[in-house]
Amino acid sequence: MLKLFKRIPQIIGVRFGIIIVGALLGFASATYALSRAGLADVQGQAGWQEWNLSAETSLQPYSLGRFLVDGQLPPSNAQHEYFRATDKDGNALRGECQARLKGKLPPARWWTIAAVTRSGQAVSPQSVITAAQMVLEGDGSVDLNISNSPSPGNWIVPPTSGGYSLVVTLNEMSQGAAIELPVITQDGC
Amino acid sequence: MGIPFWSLTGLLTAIAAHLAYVLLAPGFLFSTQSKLTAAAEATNAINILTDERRNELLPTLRGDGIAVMCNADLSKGDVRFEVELPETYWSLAVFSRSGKQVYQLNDAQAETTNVAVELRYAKSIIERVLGASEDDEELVIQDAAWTVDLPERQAFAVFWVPLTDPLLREPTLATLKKGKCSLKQRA
Repeated sequence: MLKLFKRIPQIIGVRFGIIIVGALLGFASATYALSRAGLADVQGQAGWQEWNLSAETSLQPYSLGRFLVDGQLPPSNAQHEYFRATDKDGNALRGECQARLKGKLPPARWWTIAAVTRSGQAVSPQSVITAAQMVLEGDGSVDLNISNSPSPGNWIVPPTSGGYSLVVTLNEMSQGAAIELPVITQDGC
Repeated sequence: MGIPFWSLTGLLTAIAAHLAYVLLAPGFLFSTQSKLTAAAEATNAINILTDERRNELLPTLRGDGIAVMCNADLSKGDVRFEVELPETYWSLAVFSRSGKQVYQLNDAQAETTNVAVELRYAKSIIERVLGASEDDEELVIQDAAWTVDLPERQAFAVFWVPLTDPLLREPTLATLKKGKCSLKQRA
């Protein structure tokens, strides 16, 4: 009996330790999940991703939470954001390289294309081009240069060095429109 | 009560901590952070967001454009947000204080450039039962407006007006500044 009595602090210590470790694991997994779990690949568009903010998915608390923990409001339901951090060959997009985005966008009332840092910030107004600023090709497709040195035609400036992401934001996308996103190539690294 | 029991206890603690953090922390953190930064935006007043503030709070609104916010405090009554908008594309999004979007509207749906939105706190069933006599005065019937029922007593309503031409900034800004965000008058 005395033996058991002497072991109580040890038993409580181990139990308390298990609960603390469990809580820390839960917290760590939640923090990681908030940064990743709401990400979804865009069907049929290799390399393009989006945050799944639909109320119908069980992942919504994660994708919504990702914005809120940073003190940001999420995109409105009228906005669709598609982004990628790699070119068509799977290489990371880098500010030192010349990149080119070419292809069609889904029909929308308003859209922007931006080169943003990994944290989602456009470094300057020249890092964003809007539907009003872009000169479209004859077939309605986009042809955009992403480079730190001036380029002819449509041009935006990526973050000076290091990796970046390209974000296509579509406002009021046509209902039922097929999602076809442009292809990005990179050279001159 | 051996190893299996305590392993299960640890696992259940981890699941509980995970769910609690994912479901509660983002709303709480946003609410506290937005309280800290709300000093930048006056309550129940028109706020034209600077580009810097727009990037902080609404990073997905990119490019040349103007964001007009009403930081609504519904604790003293309903708030009316009224803005004259240009005849171009614009959108309105209303978020609760915990960051969830509760309403949206755009130019095509509104079919008018003079838009008025009334924000009001939707009482829970318990609040309705307990406080039946409170705040039940008839509201003054004003001109037609969209009504948004909110689950919290504070909200952010944001009009986003993208600009098709930089030259339109000043006239658009001047028109938007004439907007109102104020407590709705009672009878």
